[in-house]
Amino acid sequence: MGNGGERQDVVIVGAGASGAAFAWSLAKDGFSVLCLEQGGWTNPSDYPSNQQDWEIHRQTDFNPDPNFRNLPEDYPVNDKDSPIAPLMYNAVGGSTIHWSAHFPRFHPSDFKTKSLDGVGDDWPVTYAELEPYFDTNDRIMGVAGMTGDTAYPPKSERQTPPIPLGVLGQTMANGFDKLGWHWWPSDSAILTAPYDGRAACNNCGPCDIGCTRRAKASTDVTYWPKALAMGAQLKTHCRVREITVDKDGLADGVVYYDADGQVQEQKASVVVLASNGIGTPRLLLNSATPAFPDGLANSSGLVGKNLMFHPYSMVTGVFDEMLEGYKGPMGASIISQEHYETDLSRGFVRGYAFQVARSTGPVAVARGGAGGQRLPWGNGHHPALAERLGHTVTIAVIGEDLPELHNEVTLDDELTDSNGIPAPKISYTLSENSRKMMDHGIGTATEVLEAAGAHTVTANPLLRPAGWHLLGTARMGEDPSGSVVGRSGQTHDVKNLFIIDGSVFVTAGAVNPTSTIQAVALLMADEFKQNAKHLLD
Amino acid sequence: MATFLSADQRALLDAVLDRLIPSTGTMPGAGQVGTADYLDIVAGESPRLARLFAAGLRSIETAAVRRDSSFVQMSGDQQDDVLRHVESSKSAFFEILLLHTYNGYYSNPEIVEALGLEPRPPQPRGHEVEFGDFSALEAVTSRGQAFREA
Repeated sequence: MGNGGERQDVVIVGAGASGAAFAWSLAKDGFSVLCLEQGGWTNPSDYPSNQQDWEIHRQTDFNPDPNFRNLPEDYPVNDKDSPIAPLMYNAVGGSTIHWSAHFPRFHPSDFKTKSLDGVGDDWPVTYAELEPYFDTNDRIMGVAGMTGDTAYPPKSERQTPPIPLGVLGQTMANGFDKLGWHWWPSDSAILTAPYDGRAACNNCGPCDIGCTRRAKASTDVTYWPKALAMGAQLKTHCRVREITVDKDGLADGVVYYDADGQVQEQKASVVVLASNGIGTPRLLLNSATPAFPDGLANSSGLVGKNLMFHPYSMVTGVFDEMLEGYKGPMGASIISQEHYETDLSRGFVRGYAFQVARSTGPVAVARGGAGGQRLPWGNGHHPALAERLGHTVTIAVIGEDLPELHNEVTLDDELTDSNGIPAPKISYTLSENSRKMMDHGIGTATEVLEAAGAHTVTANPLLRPAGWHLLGTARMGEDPSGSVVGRSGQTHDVKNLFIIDGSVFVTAGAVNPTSTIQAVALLMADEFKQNAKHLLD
Repeated sequence: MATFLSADQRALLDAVLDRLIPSTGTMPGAGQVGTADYLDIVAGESPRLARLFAAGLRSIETAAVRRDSSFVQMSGDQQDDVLRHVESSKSAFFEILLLHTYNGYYSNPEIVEALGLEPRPPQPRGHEVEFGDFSALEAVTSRGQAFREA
């Protein structure tokens, strides 16, 4: 085994949304920190949106599903027992490389589902406590939006004006107005004006194949340059296999494979996991020892349990008017949170949000667009394409799936990555509450599409490639028997081992989680800095 | 250019492609516009796909011969009948061929232009998008707080 480098104070595993924010916060206050990332740096000027065959890249090297993308830095996931396929990207920036940068916050009620609604559990942290961290994170990432959204407590001034509505957004806003339903321009981590040395978005469309202009906030262009300038270290193509433990049961470093496939050991005083809701439990389970036979930090038995995706139903309306939805950031134009908070008269508890997405280019339209059926071949083909290209709106209905023990990440008996490290297996089923919620959302999405003028509406009740959000598999809480980490991210079992990614989420909310993941990571970083001298007390 | 197609197979594939996406007054057929060149490149990168395509093309010709003709000599309606048969009997091949055909056809700048779009990738020029009228948000605001205190 090689000696990867001199002993470090803090080693972070993973350079994505949370790891970057945590590293920045520590480096800012003079802490020494090293991050190990299994992927490499991507070069924005190489992203395929510059190429004529750009639409094909989202099926191949920019496929969001690692099982299809299958790059050397990816690891496979056995997802046969799940109706939702997990998605992720492995690089500096993690999944912020391919995300659509939709940036809503969780609601205050999301942190109190048990006391408000008797389901899920309360978080050991509140919206009010996270508010300053949301603000700091917005400032570093750069958020386009508009204050005054009635679905939230007041927010600080957004960094740039909202992303443009376009014909599509305007058409849908009119539909929401007709019904008297909430809508608001989406908070997006996409600059609409130059900010912090980055260029403004030029509305090219496909955020999911990487942003050549650095207008979209991936952490390789936001947090990392700042963190590195302040002395943080980042080593790429280092795939961590396990966390090592000393005779006292404390973490003393990690073992990883370097770019040449050589095993290296990195000693550290503190180990911080930021490897996402699948990668983090995988690493803990792969770190089992005779002293920790069920995996590290797993005395509660909850490592890998309570996996939460957001179920997505995709409801698509076809309009006579040309909406030009292939122009502008694809992920969202506007949002609606009309059905976000609990209303038991709807037949389910908790709620869902609408993300009004734009449309796609001709290749994706022919293949069925966002979750639809591929278009017919033969004489019916051209009319079907002409009816849809630029004429559709897709509403993504995002539901809050509650934590359930049987939704879980385990280790696969046979499957491994290219270094031979056991790969994760996921098992997932949708609860009855969630199915009722999603069906309700399909109904209301249909209603608003028709109010906006759609002549035809179709729905995919559960999108399979929708596992963008990987949450809950090492939940936080005050009780060591009912949670894996405390509110500072410190594991209850191993005092110098921390988890700071979406794994710690207690519930999933009904919005895209990255803004909240990063705010939580920044809060944990502050608590870490305050307690660093007394971690082992 | 061709790597996995013989001349006969290429003629057969062109004829098949012209039925999957036929020509109209404004849009050329997929065979006519050379989508087979794209499929040839894709198959050249994947031996598994090359085998699937070769076997699938044989199935199409076999189905045509059962109808006492060669596929390329059939009428369009007869060809569609053969393709519908193969679509159900060799559905995995047929779906993969069709999706790759869509990839190749709609990535072709000539086709993108015929659709009325600019024949260029999204970057570096991007698009102009109307900022929009946000004054309607006053109606949303007037309805008051829309979140639950916690």
